[in-house]
Amino acid sequence: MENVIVILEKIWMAITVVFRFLKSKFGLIILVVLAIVGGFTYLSYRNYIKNLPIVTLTSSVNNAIRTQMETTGTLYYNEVLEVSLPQGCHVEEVFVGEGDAVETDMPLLRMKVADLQVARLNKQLQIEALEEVEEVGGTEGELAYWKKELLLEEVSVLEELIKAEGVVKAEGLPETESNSAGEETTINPVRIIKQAYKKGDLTSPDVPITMGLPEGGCYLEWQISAKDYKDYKGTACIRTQKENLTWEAPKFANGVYIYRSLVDTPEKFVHGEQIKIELNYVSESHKAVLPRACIRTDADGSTYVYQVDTRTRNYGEEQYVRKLGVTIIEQDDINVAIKGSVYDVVLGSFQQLQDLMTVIVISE
Amino acid sequence: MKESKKLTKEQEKLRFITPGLVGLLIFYLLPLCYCALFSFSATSGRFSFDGVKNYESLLESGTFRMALGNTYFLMATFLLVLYLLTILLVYFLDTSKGTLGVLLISALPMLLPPTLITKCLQELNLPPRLALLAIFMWKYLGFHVLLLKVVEMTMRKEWIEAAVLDRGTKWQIFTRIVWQYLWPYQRFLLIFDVICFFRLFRENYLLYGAYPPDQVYTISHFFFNNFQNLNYQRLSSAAMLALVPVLLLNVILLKVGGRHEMV
Amino acid sequence: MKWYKSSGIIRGSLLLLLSLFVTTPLAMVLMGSLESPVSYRTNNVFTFMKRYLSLDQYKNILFHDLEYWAAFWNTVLLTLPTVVLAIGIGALAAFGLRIINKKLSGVLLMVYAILSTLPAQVLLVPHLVVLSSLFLTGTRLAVILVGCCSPWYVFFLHRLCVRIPEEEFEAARLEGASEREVFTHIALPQMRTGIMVFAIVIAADLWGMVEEPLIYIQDAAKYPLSVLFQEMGESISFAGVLVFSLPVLVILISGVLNAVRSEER
Repeated sequence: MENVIVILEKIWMAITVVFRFLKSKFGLIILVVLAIVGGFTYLSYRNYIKNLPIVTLTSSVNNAIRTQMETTGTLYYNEVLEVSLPQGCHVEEVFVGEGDAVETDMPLLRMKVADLQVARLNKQLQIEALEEVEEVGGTEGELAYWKKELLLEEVSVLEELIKAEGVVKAEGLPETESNSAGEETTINPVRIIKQAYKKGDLTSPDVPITMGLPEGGCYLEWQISAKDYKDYKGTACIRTQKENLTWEAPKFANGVYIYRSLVDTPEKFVHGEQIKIELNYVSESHKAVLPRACIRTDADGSTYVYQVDTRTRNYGEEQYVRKLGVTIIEQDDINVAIKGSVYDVVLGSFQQLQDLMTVIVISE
Repeated sequence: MKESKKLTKEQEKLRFITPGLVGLLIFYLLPLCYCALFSFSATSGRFSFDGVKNYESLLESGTFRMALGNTYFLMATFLLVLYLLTILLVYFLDTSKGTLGVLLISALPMLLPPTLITKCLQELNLPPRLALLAIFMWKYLGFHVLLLKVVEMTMRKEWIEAAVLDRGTKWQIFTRIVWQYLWPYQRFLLIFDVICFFRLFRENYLLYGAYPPDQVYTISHFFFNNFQNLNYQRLSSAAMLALVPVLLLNVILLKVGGRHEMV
Repeated sequence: MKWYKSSGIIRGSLLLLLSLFVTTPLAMVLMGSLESPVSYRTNNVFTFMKRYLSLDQYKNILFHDLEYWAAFWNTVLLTLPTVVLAIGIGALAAFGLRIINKKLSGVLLMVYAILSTLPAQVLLVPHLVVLSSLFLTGTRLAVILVGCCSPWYVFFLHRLCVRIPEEEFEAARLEGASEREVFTHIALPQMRTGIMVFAIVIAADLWGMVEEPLIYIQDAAKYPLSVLFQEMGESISFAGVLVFSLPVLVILISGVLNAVRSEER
């Protein structure tokens, strides 16, 4: 033990001896050199810190991809009721317009009575002529008979109309509780789909008044290209002029036209109305979803992210970025779902980054 | 005890050399013993006495023989060229301040890091042996001549004057007087140069890597590669084999030509 | 001292050849260090100057290369303590060898001399074994300790104090000085210049050591600049090499001048 102490003492003496040398000019030079080296080291350090790109990080999370798509379609009533009008009478007054709710015995329009009379009389004449032919008999007579019957029907219709002073009423509407009770109904009234006549028009059997029957439901006619549709498993939202409606978006079937029956129909919707369809697609939950800003693309099109890792250099530890290739499963406008979760991915950087570059990480 | 407090003169003197001796023991003598021990073991990691198997395999190995041969050949050649040039320069140069100044600058390359000369030589593409020779000269010639010249300066004038008076020729004066005076230092330099030659490995490695062209594959490469391959036993045996001639040479040199106090 | 008249031409041409030989690599490195790493097209004088006379390399190394400076400090940390300890231990041991009885010193000097001639690579692995049993592997201390105990240093320093006549020691002892005082007041001042020059020489030698740190230390953060250069291989910058050698040169020249001046005193 003694010897060890003595040895240490000698070493200490040696060191003090050497330190005496340092007081000379020579020692001063050594110190100056060290100081200069220190200076450069400090400057290099400053520059190093100054030039480090700053990045923010994020990690992949569990999320779903949501996309939206808009298209337009047309909504039609499944069942319609047509009221046909006789030929060639003037319309004097119109009581309902397109979209108006109609109840039983509601006046629709009024035709000029005089025109009706004229029409009836014309038909009478034809009937009389046919009766004469009928008396002749044979095939012609039979033909005449049946024609006469048809005309008689038309005459009775006209007579009824005349009795009603030319007012055409809504008839044949299905009996519903709400309708017969006469109360204000908000659910599914019958509505005029098409009212083709204005005051002063001539009626024609080819142009009926159509009414939509809500109990029949309505259908949506819309089209969307296969490329856009993908595999929408989400909901679709129908935006009519008045109201929104959600329903299960159908699975894509072969072809372009898709339509479906609807059970619930919106109030006050107009047959043939152009409606906007919003298809909302929500994917299943993906294990790794990143904000769009994280994904970068190479010159050859492959996608990658920058992952931050630590490495030791001889002046300490530093953080650097590393290219990590990723496969995109799905994406929307905000997020991208990738295969395999990643941590510490560069979200935003103020400078252009390169592979294996040193960075400084800040938290927002 | 009071007695031990007052160290005898002798003990006190001995204390001076203790730290040096301890260091020497731990870091130089002990490793040598380890080296010797390892050289006899054939299994890696542990000591085991397997006789001279290592030595046999080494002597059979072509690589080893080539390395050893190269080493000695290169060493002899380089030293020969070095000494020829040294003698040439010592003969023709004087000891004036100017010359000494130039020699001082020429001595500097010895102390520069090996990267400098390596970088320079990478640009020129010399044949390997020539390149190494050039490096060796560049590094050590200046120092040699400088040292000898400085020593020459301390020579006593009277001897020369006496010889001149005797009308000796320049060559006679040189060989008989000057060189005799310089010889101990030259002998010292000889030992020093052997070490320097092995230091050449640094530049060799920087230029040509661990597996240089055959002409310059030396024992040092052999050591280094075996070390990288973790073949410590082979390395130790090779070291022992290579050491022996070197040590012998040194011992001879030290004994012959006077006591080493003159060195 | 001119004891012969040698022809000035021979002398002059030999000196010229020598200086050219020595300075050409330095000049090449210097020229290389002034070449800009950016390859400008050299159309006119100005772009030529920008390409071949630029300080870009220096700017990059001096101000922007933190790795370089960290390794530089590693070099300093390895070199300085080793030199200090080597001189300390060596001077003491040299003096000790001088004053103990001749037989013992003769034997020891022989041992020292023989051990000095060992090439370094021989002892690399055994050193590792010893170091690991001392639990020193991987530290800078390992390199320092191994470096400072080299027998060559003791041997050389011994030569420095061999010249001092025994009488001076005796005179001091008669006046009642302890051995330590003899050392510090008699031996040391006379060895001073030699020690200084020797210290510079060792420092310069250790400044460029490559194998020792490479093998004793595994942690790349602790490697000195010389190892870094070796690992960089082809892409070492000339400026880096020059800046690395500069402290050695500066200290060398100033130390030598100092020594010469103090010798003349």
